[in-house]
Amino acid sequence: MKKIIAVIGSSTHSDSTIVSRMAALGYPLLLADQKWERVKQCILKEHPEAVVEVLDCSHECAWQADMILLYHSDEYKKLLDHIKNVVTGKIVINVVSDLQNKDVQHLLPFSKVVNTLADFSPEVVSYTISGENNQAVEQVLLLFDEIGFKSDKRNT
Amino acid sequence: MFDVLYQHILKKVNITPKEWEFITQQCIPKKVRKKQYILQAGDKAEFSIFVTKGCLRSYSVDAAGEEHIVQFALEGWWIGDTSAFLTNEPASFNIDALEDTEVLLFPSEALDAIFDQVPMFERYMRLLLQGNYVAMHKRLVSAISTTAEEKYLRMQKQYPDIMQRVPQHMIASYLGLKPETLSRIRKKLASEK
Repeated sequence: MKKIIAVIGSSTHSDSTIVSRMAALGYPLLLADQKWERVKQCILKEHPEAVVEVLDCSHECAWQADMILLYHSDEYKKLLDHIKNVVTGKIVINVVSDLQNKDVQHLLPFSKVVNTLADFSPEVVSYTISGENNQAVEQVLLLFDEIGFKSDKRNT
Repeated sequence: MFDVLYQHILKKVNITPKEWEFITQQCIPKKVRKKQYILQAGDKAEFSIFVTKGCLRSYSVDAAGEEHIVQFALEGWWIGDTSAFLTNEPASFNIDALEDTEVLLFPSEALDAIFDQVPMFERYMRLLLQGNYVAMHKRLVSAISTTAEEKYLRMQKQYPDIMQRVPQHMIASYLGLKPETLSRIRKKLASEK
């Protein structure tokens, strides 16, 4: 059974590579910002069978999800505080946020925060990954490998 | 979200506020939509599941594609594929939501950590397992030695909430009856009132 992925924070079009590839592989996606609507439409045009939904509520998306992708936000503290109580024990992947991994982990102390460092555009072939929980890092490595990104550097 | 579990634990054992805080830091809160799976046969059974709101069912599917319901779980119930969870073998059962449902998921490493830090939680689990054993034994005896009508009446008496919230064809499946048989029994009982 595919894990349900919540995408928290807002998008620029170049951010959509990870999300599109996950949707194409059958991962159900919950997008927590109306700015993702255009990305959703593009995904469904290319992959009509994809399960993608824009919910416009970070808390609800994070609660329903098994794993969280954290994107841009102007108010990280507010956003993370909003989802904090429903992401306990879940993997939170800090994809392109401007926060350092330790800051996210500090704000979400009971989540398994994994930091990925790269511009995940289709041209990018490698990225750096780090996190305090080795099992979570392994899971994210497998997931990103599945969607076509290989890690060239791992910091723990 | 956590209060249902807290009250459930307190009915059986006492824990300190600090121990309770530790427990809430170990479990994974999840919301499951109606008809959505939380476990599928063949997958790894990663969690023991506590229902805080809604209703889940576990069931197997036979070679002919027929569903056989093993358990329902309403608020305050634990559910999971215990055998697969304990042995690490692929799950034999599917678990899905009959209503929009909220659960707390406990991975085995979380349970181990809680057992280490909160000794009374281990006692709580033992009491649950004892209760579960008794219920399963009674269900086995009922399955092999009572009539369809007796099975239905027993369930009605024991689980009135489930009878209210679960469709009749699922009750029939849980009791190992054909839906037509259950329908006949209900008509007969209604005419006798």
